[in-house]
Amino acid sequence: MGKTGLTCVLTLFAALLLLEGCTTNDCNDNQNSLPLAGFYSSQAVPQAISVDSISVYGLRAPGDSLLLDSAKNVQEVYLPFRIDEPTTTYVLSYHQKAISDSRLNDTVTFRYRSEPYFVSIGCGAIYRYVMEGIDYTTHIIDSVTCPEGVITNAPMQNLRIYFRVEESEEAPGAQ
Amino acid sequence: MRRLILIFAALALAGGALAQRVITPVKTDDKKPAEKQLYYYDLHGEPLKEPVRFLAELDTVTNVRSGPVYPLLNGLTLGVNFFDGILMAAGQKYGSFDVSADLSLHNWFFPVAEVGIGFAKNTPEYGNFTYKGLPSVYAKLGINYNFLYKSNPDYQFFFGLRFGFSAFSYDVTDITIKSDYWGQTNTFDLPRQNATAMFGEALIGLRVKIAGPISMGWTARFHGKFGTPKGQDSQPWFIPGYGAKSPLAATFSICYSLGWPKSKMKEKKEDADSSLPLPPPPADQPDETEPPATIAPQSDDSPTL
Repeated sequence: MGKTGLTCVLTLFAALLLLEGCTTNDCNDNQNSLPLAGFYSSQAVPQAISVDSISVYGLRAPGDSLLLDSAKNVQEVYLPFRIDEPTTTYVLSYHQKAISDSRLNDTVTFRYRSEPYFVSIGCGAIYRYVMEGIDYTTHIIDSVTCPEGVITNAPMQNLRIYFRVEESEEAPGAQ
Repeated sequence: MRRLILIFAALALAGGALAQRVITPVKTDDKKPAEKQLYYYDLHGEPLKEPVRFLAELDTVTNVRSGPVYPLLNGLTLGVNFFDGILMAAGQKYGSFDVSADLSLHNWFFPVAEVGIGFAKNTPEYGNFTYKGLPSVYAKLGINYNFLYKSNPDYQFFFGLRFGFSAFSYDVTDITIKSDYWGQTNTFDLPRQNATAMFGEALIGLRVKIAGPISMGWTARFHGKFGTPKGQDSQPWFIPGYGAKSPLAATFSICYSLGWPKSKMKEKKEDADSSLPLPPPPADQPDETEPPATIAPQSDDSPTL
C-alpha cells in the first residue's frame, strides 16, 4: 500500500469515527413501558380474537377519558399504568345488544412494583413494572395473565385477557 | 618502336618511385595494460546515458537474514494519547485519555501497557435524562508486531492486540417520566451505578519520528466487549477506554523514546551489513588516493567515468 492508499484509509477511518459520533442513537424498542393487552378466547387452545363494541377506560382517569370508545374489531389495547401508584384499574364495558349492561362490565386491577431502569442512550430511562398480582371480575372475562411477570419497553403483548366465548362465536360479538 | 619501349620504361620507373611507403618508426610498450572496454548498455540491456568502464554486479545479496536485526532490549517508549480530546472538540460527549509504555524487543515485538481515565456527560436533545460517566480508570495490556522490524526503529508500521478492563461508575440524573393518559410526571435519579467491563481490541498503527526522541503515533482499532456490563438499575452507555456504541476507535499519541542503545544498534547493524558478500575488486585496482570510480550510472547523480 502506497502513501496515498494509506492516507485514504486513515482519512476514511477518521470520517467514520466522526460520523459515528454525530449519529443519533436510535431506539428500536418503545421509549417507555407500555403494557399491551391482547384479546384471546378462553378455549382449551386459546386463539387471538377480535372484539366488537367495547369501551376501555381507567378508573379515576383524568376527565374520564376513554382508551377505547365502542371500538370495533379490537384485537389488543394499550393499558398504561399509573406511575405514582402501585395499582391501576381498568374498566371494560361491552355495548353489544345481548350484554349491553353496565352490570356486566368487567374491571381489571393490576398490582405491580415500579422499578426505574436506564435502558440506553436512545431509549432513555423507563419504569419496569414487576407484576405482583392481577385482580379481575369474571362477567365476560375468563382470566387475565402477564406471561413474563414483568413489563418492559419491549414492543410486545405483555398482558393477555381471555374472554369466555360461545361455541358458535369466539367472543361476545367476536368476528 | 624503340621510342615506345623507352616511354614504358620511364613510366615504370616513375610509378615504382611513387608507390614506395614512408614508414615512421614508433616505440611500443608491451607491458602497458590493455585498454579497458567501455560499456554502453547495463546488465539488463538498457542503454546507458554515458558509457562506463565497469558495471556493478546487481543482486549481490545472497544470504538474507530472516532473524532480528536489533538487540533484544531495544528501547522503551512512553506515550500520551489525546485523540478523544480532538473528537470531544468536534462534539463527542465522552473521552478516554491514557498514557502508554511499550518495550521494544528486537524492534519486532512490543509488549504494551496502557492506563488511562475516561469520563462522559450527555444530555440527549430528545432524551429524558442526563448521563454522567464519572472519571474512572481503565487499563489495557497487549502486544504490537512491527512489520518493519529490520528497518529504522524511528518508523513503525504494526499490528496489535489489546485486552482491556475497566471498573467504572456513572450517574443517570434528571430522569423525567410522563404518563399522558394519567396526567402524571415523575422525576428521579439513578445515582452511583457501578459496573465492570472487559473488552478486546485489534489494531493497526503507525509511528513516525518527529525530532530527537519525540515521535507521533496513530492507531485504528476495532473492538468488542466480552459480555454485557450492567449496573444495578441500568446498562452503561460509556465504558472508559472502550467508548460508547461504535466498534471503531482510534488513538493519536505523542511518544517519547527512552534509552535507545544506539551504539549497540549500530554494532548490530554493521554486523548485519558485514555478512553481505562484497563484489569482486576490479582487475586493476586504482590507487587508494583515487576516488572510487567504477559504477554504472543508475541515476542522474551517480558518478561515472
